[in-house]
Amino acid sequence: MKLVLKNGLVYDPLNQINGEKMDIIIKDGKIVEKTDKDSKTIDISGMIVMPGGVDIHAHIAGSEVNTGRLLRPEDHFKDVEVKSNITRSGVGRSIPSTFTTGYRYTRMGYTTVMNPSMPPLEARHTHEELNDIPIIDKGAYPLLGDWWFVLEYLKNGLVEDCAFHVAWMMAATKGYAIKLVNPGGPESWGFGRNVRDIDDTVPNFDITPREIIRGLCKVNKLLNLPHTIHLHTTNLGVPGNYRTTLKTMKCVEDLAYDKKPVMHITHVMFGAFKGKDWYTMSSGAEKISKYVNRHRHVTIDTAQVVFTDTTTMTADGPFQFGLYRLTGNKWVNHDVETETTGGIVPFRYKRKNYVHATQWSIGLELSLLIKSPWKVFLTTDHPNAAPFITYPRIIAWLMSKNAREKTMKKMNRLAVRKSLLPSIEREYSFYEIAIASRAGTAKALGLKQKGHLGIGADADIAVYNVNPKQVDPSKEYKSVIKAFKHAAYTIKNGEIVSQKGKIVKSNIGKTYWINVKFKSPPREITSDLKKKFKDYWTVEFDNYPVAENYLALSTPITVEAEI
Amino acid sequence: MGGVLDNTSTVCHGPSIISIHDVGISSCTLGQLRHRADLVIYWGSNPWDAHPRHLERYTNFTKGRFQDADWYGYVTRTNIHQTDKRLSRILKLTPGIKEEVLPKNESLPYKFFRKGRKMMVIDVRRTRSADMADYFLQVEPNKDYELIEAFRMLIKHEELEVNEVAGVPVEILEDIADALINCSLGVIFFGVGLTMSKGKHRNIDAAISLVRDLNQRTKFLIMPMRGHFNVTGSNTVSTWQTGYPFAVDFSQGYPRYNPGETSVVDILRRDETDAGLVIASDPVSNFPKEATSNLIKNPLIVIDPVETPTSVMADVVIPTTYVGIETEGTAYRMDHVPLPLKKVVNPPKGLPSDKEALEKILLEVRRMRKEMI
Repeated sequence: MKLVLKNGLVYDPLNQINGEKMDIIIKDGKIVEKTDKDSKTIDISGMIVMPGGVDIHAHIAGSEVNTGRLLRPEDHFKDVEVKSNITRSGVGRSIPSTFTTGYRYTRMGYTTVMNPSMPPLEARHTHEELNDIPIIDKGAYPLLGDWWFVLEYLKNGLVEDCAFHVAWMMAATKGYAIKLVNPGGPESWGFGRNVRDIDDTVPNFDITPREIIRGLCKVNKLLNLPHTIHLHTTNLGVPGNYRTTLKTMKCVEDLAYDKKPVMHITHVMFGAFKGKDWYTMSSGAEKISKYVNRHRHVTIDTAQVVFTDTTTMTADGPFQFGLYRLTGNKWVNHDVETETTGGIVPFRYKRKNYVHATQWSIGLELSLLIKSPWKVFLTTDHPNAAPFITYPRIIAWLMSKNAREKTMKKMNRLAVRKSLLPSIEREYSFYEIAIASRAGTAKALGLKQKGHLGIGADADIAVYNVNPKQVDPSKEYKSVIKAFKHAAYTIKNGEIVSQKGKIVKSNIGKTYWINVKFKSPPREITSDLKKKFKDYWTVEFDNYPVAENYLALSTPITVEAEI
Repeated sequence: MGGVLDNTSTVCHGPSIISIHDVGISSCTLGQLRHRADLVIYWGSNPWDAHPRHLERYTNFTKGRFQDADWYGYVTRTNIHQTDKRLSRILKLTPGIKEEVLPKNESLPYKFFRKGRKMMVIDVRRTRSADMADYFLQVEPNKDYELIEAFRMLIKHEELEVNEVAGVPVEILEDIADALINCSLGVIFFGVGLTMSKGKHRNIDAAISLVRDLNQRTKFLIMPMRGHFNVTGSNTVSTWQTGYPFAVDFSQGYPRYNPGETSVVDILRRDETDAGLVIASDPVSNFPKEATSNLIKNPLIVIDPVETPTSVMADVVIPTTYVGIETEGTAYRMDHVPLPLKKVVNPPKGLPSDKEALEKILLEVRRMRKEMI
């Protein structure tokens, strides 16, 4: 399909284009230079054009997400998606069904979403669900921080062997990046314990979380993976944990090279609590922001809280158990042999609750105090801090001090008094929003075709009906919310898929995965694996890997390892 | 089409699913138990007969990283059992000696106060699995709920003011409660004996709550003993596509779920259907008579590789291939681990797989309705 978007105001931070009036020309799913005569022209004067959104961290598929769906029929009753001639029916709210997930991201102008926690043993399930998420491109991060092989090799200092196995795992699970969740914690949770600091020892394995993080960081470099290690910190959701988060960031300082990031810390809001207990809990965002401002080796995403009813789900079993004890809500725990664990607890963030209001404030403080939006990305850790459909409201808070103040008026008073937010004047521009929600994330993920509108990029484009020359987002933030809620046009792979919130075409999205090529002659990397397989798992070696034909639209990215 | 989609959970582990909606579940994959479980309880389930390879592959008779296999204990117990049998036979033949009746619910064996793998069976009658177990607790029929609640009280240090619960003396219950707390990782496997006895999903609610309580003291897990080949898979797919695991009603244009109203037996009983499509299951032998007669009086299409009472009653039968023998596929194990199924032999000529048959039907329906999906 050939398409020309005429007279849009383009925000393309990776190519340093800041609100210029430009034409975007699309041919065969790519952005090209020259117009063809038979192109269809759409006049979008007065609208803004951005690359399609790239979400770096959203739990949209896989066994834990699905168990979340199973756990919460009451969540689905509130919100349904009626079928149409083009779309399939489904249910929504905090854990929408697969088709609904695809449609809703598309309506917001998001075109790429990364699913951050995939238990390797259940990778097949994750991919089957990803296949059923239409339109958007996706990838998944296998959970490797507690895999027995990783623990054993790193304990013995065999980083290269570990790298070979991680590469095997990436291909076997069709994964995209190394995900660590509270390294050592899920393994300890096997017998109901946890690690409390990055220097605690993991029971039965004689290794510390610090060694795991550093080891996998080295592995990541050896394998040349496009994304950095993706880390969920130790001690999540515990007052005083900002120290652990800072320690975690510091522990890989010396592994940085070429001024590039080597670590992505996810949902930092949950790891930025100061204080000794819930009474004295306050924001540790300032310290973390200071550190991130001064260092180049780390990128973060915030997990912005929105006051609503949602569902928390992580692979951090002990944390979810703590949350269950705190709330007394229904609780799902799911341990996965030799690899990881997971938990789910429904949760409601309340405006009038001191802790929740402080959490809301921490997320925004992080986004606003960290100067470069290339280092801090917009997420809600869907659905942990809020469902992804709340992104437009978060964009409004980032762009408008008025919007923040309006929310603060109705919030817990003590939380407002202690918060730094009233003293922060900064407001994001559209350019910075484009960085935090697409250009920055695409860069951090190493997706070269995404997040920009340069020649040769994938034609994944979002057009929002808001004119920055007429609308002052600081005052008229409601029109910003309206614009970002339903993109005027979402273009995926060169085709218009959504128009003013209506899905007009439903196609299949790609699934990205990493295929590592080694320099050295291919070693028999699986000999040790094969030998131990029967002892470690309850499935056969041949049944473990997910074959490529399982993926609806397999898109391997080949990388060359240093070894 | 806007019909209603249901699967065999509706007559099997449906109550387990409803209790997960209520309280959640603390569960795991089977390998976790193989490596770590030191107290395995089968409640209202009989793995030796119903899941014959379960014990040997996943729990007591397999060696894990942190726990040893308990074959030796099993052999010893079997020997004792055989000797007992011989002795009682001799006693029977000896004139003048009266046969002693074995006391029900003896006290807990010493093994339960030591480390190492232990197996307990709780059931209404002595099954073959009970013979394998280190300890068998016989509960009076339909009294499971009382027993679970008694355990919940005991592990919270409450005192029971009765002499026995569900036919079990309180002293024994106290010992068991101690064993539950003192294990390093315990697991309860429950079967249809618990889901389909009096109380239904309330039993499971209570059992899961017991496990929740136990997790305050040690690590405890619970898992339904599911069967019916790939029923877990159909629950899983139904959940990700519609949000609900079974009994999904599409008649309003979006998925609705209300078991008891939208479940297939209730719909058939109210005689609200005008046609039925049955894929690889046998409602005629399993549903109540009323529901069955309403099902077969309307047009009934059956897609199934085997001849069943349902397919005999059908108006149209589409024979298909066997998945895992004649066609490739995926099945979900009862702990939600997806496994690929291989093709071993070629199917008879011209026989479609379930997927092909359904896809062709769908294509035709869409052509008739002029839809685009």
